[in-house]
Amino acid sequence: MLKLGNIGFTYGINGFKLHDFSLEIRQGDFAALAGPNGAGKSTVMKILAGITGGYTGAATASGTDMKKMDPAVLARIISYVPQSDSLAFDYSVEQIVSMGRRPHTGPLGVMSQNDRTAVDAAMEEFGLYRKRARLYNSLSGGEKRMALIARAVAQDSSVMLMDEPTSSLDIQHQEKLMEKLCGLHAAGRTVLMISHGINLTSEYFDRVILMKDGIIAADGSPADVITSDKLKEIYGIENFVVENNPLTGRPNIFLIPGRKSNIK
Amino acid sequence: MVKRTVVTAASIGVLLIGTIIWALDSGSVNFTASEILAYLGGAREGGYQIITFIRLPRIIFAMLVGGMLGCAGAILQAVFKNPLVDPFITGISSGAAFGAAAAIVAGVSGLIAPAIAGAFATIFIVYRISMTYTGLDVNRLLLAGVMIGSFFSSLIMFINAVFSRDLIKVVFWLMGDLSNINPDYMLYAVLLALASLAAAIYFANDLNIFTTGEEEARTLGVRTEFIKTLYFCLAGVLTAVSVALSGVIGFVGLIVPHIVRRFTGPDLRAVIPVSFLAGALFLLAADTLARTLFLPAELPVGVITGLAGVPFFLALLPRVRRA
Repeated sequence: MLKLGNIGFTYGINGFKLHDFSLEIRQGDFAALAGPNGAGKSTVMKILAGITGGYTGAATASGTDMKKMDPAVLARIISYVPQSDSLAFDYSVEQIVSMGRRPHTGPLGVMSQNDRTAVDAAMEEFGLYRKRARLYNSLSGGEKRMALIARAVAQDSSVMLMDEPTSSLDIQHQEKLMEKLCGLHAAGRTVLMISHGINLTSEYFDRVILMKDGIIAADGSPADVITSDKLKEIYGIENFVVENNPLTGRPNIFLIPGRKSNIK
Repeated sequence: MVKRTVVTAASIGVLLIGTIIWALDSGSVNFTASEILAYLGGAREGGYQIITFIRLPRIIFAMLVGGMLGCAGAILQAVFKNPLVDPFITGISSGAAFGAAAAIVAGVSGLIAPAIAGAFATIFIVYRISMTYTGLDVNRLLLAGVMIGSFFSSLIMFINAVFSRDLIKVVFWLMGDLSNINPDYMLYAVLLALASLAAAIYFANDLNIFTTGEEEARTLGVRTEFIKTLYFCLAGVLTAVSVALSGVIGFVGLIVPHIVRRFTGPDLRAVIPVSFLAGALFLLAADTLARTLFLPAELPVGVITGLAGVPFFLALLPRVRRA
C-alpha cells in the first residue's frame, strides 16, 4: 500500500537523520508508530503523507512514486490528521470537515450531493452534526481532534495517518477516539497512528512499530514488541514490569517508582 | 453562507450607489440630487463637464483602487495566515511606490510594470525574512514589513531630494492621492484588476484550505507551492496597480476584509469579491470626505484612511494576541 524504500533524510544542521530507512504499511494494517521523543516518528509519517520532500530513496503509494503524484490523487489514497491547532480564521466545523472533500471537487470546491452526504455522515459519526455551525476555534481539544478526524473520514481515503491524536485527551475521549478508529479499521481502512501510550498501543493495535534514533527497533504484534528487554533497550528505562492484561492477554507496562532493587 | 454573502454584497451595492451620488454632487460646485439624477438620466446641461471629466473619473478610480486594496488585503491576510497584515503594513505598497518613483527618475514610461517589480521584490524579501525553520514568524513578518516600508519611503524622499522636486510629489507617494490620476491607465488598470480578481476567486477554496495549515493543505490535495506563489503574485499586482494610480494609501486592505468577514464568515470565495466591493465603497467615501471636508483645501486620502486605520489596528491587536 505505502512503501518507504531506503529513505535518506537530514533535518537541519547536525539535526535528525534517517539513513537507509525502509517501511511498508500493508493494506488493512491497524498499526501504531511509537518510540521515544526525537526517534523520527513524525518525520516518517510526514514522508508517508507526502508532506515532507527532500529525501533520497523512494516513497510509493499503491506502487506510484509519491513525488510524481498530483496532490489531489495522493489525497484520495492517503489522509493525514495533524495535531490540532487554533486557526487564524473562524471557520465553522462544517467548513473544516467540508475541506476533506477537496480531492473530489475542483479548486472552486463546489460540492455535489454526494460530497454533502459524505460530509454530513462524517460529522454525524463523530458527534459533530449538531455542532456543525460552531466555530472550530471554540471547540475543546477533544472536539477539535474529532473534527479533524471527521475531515479525514470525509476525505474517503483508504489510508489514514494520524499524528498523536490521543495526546492531551482525557481517558474518556481517548477511549471514544480509539473505538472510532477501530470502527474505521473494521470498515476497511488502513490506519497508522503515532502514539506515546504503550498500554493503549498494546491493547488496541495489531501491529506496533517501535522506532529509536531514526531506525526501526522492533516491528510486530504487541506480544512480540512490547517486552521488557525491548522497552529497556529502546526507552532506556529500568523501573517497570511488563504483565499481560488478564482480560485481553495483551502486554501492559507498569512503572514501579523507586523500587528498583525489589524487582526480580 | 451563500445567502449571507448575497445579502452583504447587495447591501454594499446599495450603499455604493448612494455614495456615488453623494460624491457626484459634492465639491467646490454643489449639485442637487435631482440634478445628478437628471445627469445620470442623460441630461447634459449646466455643470455636466465637471461631472463627466472631473468627478466621474475620480469616482471610478477611487472605487477601483479601493477594490484592489481591499482584495489585496484579504489575500495577504490569508496567505500569511494573519489578520493583522495588509499591503501597507507588509511594506509592499512602499516597495511598489519606490519602483514607480525610480521609474520616473530613470525616465521610463509607464508606472505599472515598475510598481509590480517593486511589489514583487518586497514580497520576496519580507517573506524570506519572516520564514524560519519552524514556519512563518508573525513578529518577524510585521517588523520586517514596517522596516522595509520605512526604508522604501526614505528612499523615495531621497531620490526626490537628489533628482527632482517637480517630477515626484512626495506626499502623493507617501500618503496617497486620487486627484491626479492619469486617465491613460484606466484600461490597463481595469483589465488587470478584473483578471486578478477572477483568478483570486477561482482558486479561493484552495486558499481557504491553505490558511488552515500548509502541510495539511497538501494532504487535502492542494498544490500549496502553486497557491502560495499565485496569491503572492495576485496581491502584488493588485497592490502595485493601485499604487501606480494613486500612491500609497494605507489600511484599506486591513480594515475592509475584517469588516467583510464579520458579515460573510471566513470563506474566501465570499471574502475576496465582497472585499473588492467594500473596498470600493470605503475608499470612495474616504476620498469624498478628503476632498470636501476642508474646502477649498483637499486632504490626501491616505490621511483619512490612516486616521481610521491606525486605531482599528490597535483595537485588533489584543484580540489577535489572545488567539
